[in-house]
Amino acid sequence: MDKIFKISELISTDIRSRANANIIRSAIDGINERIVLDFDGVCFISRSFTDELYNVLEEHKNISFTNTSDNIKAMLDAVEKGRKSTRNFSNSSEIKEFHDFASLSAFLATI
Amino acid sequence: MGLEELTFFHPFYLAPLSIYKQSIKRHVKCINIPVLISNYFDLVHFENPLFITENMGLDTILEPYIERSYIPICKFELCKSNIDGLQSVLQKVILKQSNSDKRIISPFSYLLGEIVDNMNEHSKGKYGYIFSQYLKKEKCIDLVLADDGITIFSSYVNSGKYMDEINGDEAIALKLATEGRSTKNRPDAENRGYGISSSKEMLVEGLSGSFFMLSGGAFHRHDANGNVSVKLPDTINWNGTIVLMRIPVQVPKGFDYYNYVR
Repeated sequence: MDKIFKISELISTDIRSRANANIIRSAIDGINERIVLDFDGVCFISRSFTDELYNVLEEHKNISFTNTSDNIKAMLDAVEKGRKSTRNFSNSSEIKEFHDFASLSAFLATI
Repeated sequence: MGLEELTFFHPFYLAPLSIYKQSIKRHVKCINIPVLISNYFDLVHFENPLFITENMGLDTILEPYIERSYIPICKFELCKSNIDGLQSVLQKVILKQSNSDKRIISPFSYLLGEIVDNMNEHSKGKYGYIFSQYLKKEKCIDLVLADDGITIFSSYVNSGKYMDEINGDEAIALKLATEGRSTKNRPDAENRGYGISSSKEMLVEGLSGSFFMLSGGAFHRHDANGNVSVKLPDTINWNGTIVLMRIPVQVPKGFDYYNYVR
């Protein structure tokens, strides 16, 4: 028997903070049945929340998703793919140093 | 602080000055303020930021601002309040003010959400601040987000990570943070640190906006003119982190939000 959690009621329809995944952790703690996270009505999930959600999935192997809109599915897929890929760090920024206000002002004036 | 020569106060200076006045122990008074500027100070809650909480009916309080071009400088508790709910309300008002392209909604949610979440996860601060000003002629929203916590450099020091690379240099700490080097990765993965790096990429390369960040004695700038972390003169220091984003309200053709999500 599946245990279903409606995410829009458990958390919100617009989920941004990573810490919201702890609400799911607490809700499913001690549950042995298969768990279904129902995303009906959820219109936005952030990258940070989604990453933490996948941490929850790794802790509990019996979780699946349902009723994910195209937006939600795209975010879930993008983060899942990112977690499995080798990270390439951008190294394109330079370092500058200014010891006086005149040179700093000249630099800031270009903004 | 005498402001008699002032004719304009850029949002990127206004909000940090207000936050600075709140946070230091000494009393700072602005004097000889031109009338127009003084009126603007009152409107944006310059002297006393609007303290917002989840239970105060923020929808109703901010409704009059839908017809204006700014939201007042708002202060909220980190790690306590329903920050997601507060963000939703603030964002709704900001985007209605500018009559933005509907395609900006997801990127705006992403930018606001990731930077505010960074404050919650890393700053160890008590309060966060938000201020926005819509600039009609430039067709962009100037958004200021700030915290009163530890700096990015201190966050690395506390974690003990990347110490050899940083070598006591706050500008290098800022560079690493903006490139995605996280203090909180799992031992077996590099799954974090995307907040700032992906937000910058989305904003600057995807939307043709600008991203600035001031933390401790270092400043980061990423816009059409370059991507640079700056070590500031020793007398300049900000206790906490301020992020300044210039967000265009018109989304370029061909922009795909998911291209910037990793």
